[in-house]
Order: sequence, then C-alpha cells, then structure tokens
Amino acid sequence: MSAVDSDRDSRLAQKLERWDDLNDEYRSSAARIASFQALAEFIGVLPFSDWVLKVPDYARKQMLTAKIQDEVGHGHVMARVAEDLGVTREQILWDFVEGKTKLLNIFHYGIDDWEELGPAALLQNSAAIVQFQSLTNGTYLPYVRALKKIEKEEAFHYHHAWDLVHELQTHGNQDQRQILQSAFETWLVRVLGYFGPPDLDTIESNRMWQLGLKVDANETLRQRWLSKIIPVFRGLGFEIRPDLVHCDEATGEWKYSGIDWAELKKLIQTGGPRYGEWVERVRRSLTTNSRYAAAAMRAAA
Amino acid sequence: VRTGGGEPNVYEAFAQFGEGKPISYIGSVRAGDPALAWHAAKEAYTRRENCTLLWVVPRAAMTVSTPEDATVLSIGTRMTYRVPTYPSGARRQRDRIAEWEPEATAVTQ
Repeated sequence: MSAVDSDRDSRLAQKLERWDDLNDEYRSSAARIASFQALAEFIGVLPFSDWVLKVPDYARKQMLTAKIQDEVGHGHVMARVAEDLGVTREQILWDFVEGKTKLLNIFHYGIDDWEELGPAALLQNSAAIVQFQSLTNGTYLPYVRALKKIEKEEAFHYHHAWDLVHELQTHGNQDQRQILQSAFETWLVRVLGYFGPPDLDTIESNRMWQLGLKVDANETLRQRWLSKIIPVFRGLGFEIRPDLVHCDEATGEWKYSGIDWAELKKLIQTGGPRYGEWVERVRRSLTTNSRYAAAAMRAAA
Repeated sequence: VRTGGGEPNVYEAFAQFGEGKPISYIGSVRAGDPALAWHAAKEAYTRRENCTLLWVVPRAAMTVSTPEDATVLSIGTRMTYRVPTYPSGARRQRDRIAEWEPEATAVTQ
C-alpha cells in the first residue's frame, strides 16, 4: 500500500490535454476508457428507462426522467472525449452491438420490482461516485473535466435514490420491506463485483495505472465504497448480514463474500439476463437514427 | 497560433451560470448545424443549474494557442515590470539608495 501511495504524486503529476503530444499508447488508452464509460452511461439507462411508464408515483416519475436525461447527457459528454481521440459515438455503439466491447457486470441486469429500483440505484450511484472521485485525479484532463460534470449530477441521483429507499422503508408494508432487503443483498454482491478482481499485488504493473488513467486499485476503491455505503444502509434500517459483509475491527478492513470471479467473468463474456435485449435495442436505435442523422448532416452541409 | 481544425461538426460551448459571473468553457458537442449544436449544449450541460448565457462556436472557426505559444503567453518569462509587485521592489531599491546617500556625501566632504 505504501509503495502505491508514495508513487501516486509522481505518476499523476503530469496532466495532459487533447492538443498535447499524446503518444499512441496513451491516446488509445484514454480513448478506450472514455468509450467504455460512454457505453456504460448509455446502457446503464436502459434498466431505468424501462420504468418510466410504470412508476407508481408522479413525482418519482419526474425524478426518474431527470435521472435518465442526465445519464444520456453523461453518455454524450463522455462520447465527446472519445470522439476527440478518434472514436465516434456510432463506433462505440456498433462495437457493442457487434460484441467487440463488453459491459461491466451490473449492466447485464434489469430491475424487476419497483422496490428493487431504489437499493439498486443507491448502490450503483455510490459506487460510481467513489470511482469518479478517484478518477478525477487522473492525468487526462478532458476526461477529468467530463467526470467532474458527471459527478455533480450523480450526487443528485444518490439523494433521489436514498429518498426512495427511505420512503418505502418507512411507509411501505412488510412485503415491500422484504423486497428492499433482498434487492440490497442481490445488488450489493453485484456492485462488489463491479469494482473488479482484487489487485493490490498486481496494480503497479497495470498499464492503465502506470499511465495515470487508473488512479487507485480495485480493492482500494471497493474498501472505500464499503466504508461509506454500509453505514448508509444500516441507517436506513437494513439488516447487514455479517456473512455477506463485515468490517474486521482489528484491521479496519472489510470482508465480503458472495462473488464468484470465474462466474462473473463468464457473465461478462457470454451476457447476463438482459444483455441480448440491450443489444437489440441499441441496434434498432442505431439503424433507425442513421437515416435521420444522414439526412440532417446532408441538409447542414 | 492555429485557426481551424479537422472537425467540421464539433462545436465548443461556453456558458454563464448566474448574472455577472464569468462566461466559461463547459465542453463540446457534435451537431449538424449551429442551432442544433446550441440545443445539444443546452441538454448536455445546462439542465441542472440556472444558466444565464449559452454560446456555441464551431471549433473550426476558432483561433487558438498551440503548445509553441506557451512562452509568449507565460507572464513569468517576460515583462517583469507588469507584475503587481514590481513597484514595491523598485521602491525598496529606491529606499536603499536614499539611505546610502548621506554617507556618500560624508565621504566626499
């Protein structure tokens, strides 16, 4: 850990702009990280947009719509970072449709119950915030600026999700509270997996880390996230099963279980429950939109 | 200095959040024409805060500095007399000279 920390300053000291002399490796790595995140923002919307027509509350529908607009906006902002490095948004989406790029585990699932949406969103948002706060210390400034803009809106989403969980936990019935609890346990394990395999031993040989495009190790971020989010759920009246996650009092380190890394890798490779549906939706949207995009570009030329 | 660039559909966006505040660079959008670019910028960058001004300009129309301009743009490398602390430095030197003069007079007598 200490070697990682002392290295931090020199590794992250030199910041770069789009117009600086970027070598090929740096340029393609920065393009990859921005494309990957743009895709996650676009696909991350789909489980939530599923709910727009079904939200059982008008104010919640408005809040959900605002979140969806934000996330699509994040996709556009990130896509601009990638486009300036030579990867267009069409390519980002087509690469996904053609199976050339993979999604992180959490984006392979849908949300089946209204009571599931709050815990899922709260766990996802808090993880994204921890992730982005770390990445804003990275070396590629256009990406850092995009993240800062996104981070601010993630904070809104976090508060909305917290409030939704609080409402159902406080005013919901026994059945609803049961779904909340089980959604928490399901999504907790998924989001634990979202941070990636433990890597404290290998992080210093990770090229993205060396280039300052990855700032902290997966495990560092996972620990940071747990120490923030577990007290939040405890405060909301959830039961935190010690066999699932608990803090080792002596070391301050969080112990967690439930992730099968081989299984998770397989899910990412072969696709989770909703993967095929997301691919088809993006394909349909790209095919339909390409007609109008082409006409608009012709008219503007 | 360079004008233009190879990205005909890219627009840079600038916004002011609150009257009297500076107008700042907020990011870029890609769009087929300037009006669509303005709307894209509005959707991507201004929805969550009270925006008082929003401008877009084609990147290709901008004249911008390049890394080679760093020297002429940097204040530290030229014209020290423009730095706010310059007069006080000059004054200290003046004072030192003034203090020194009576002794100098004594020597000549």
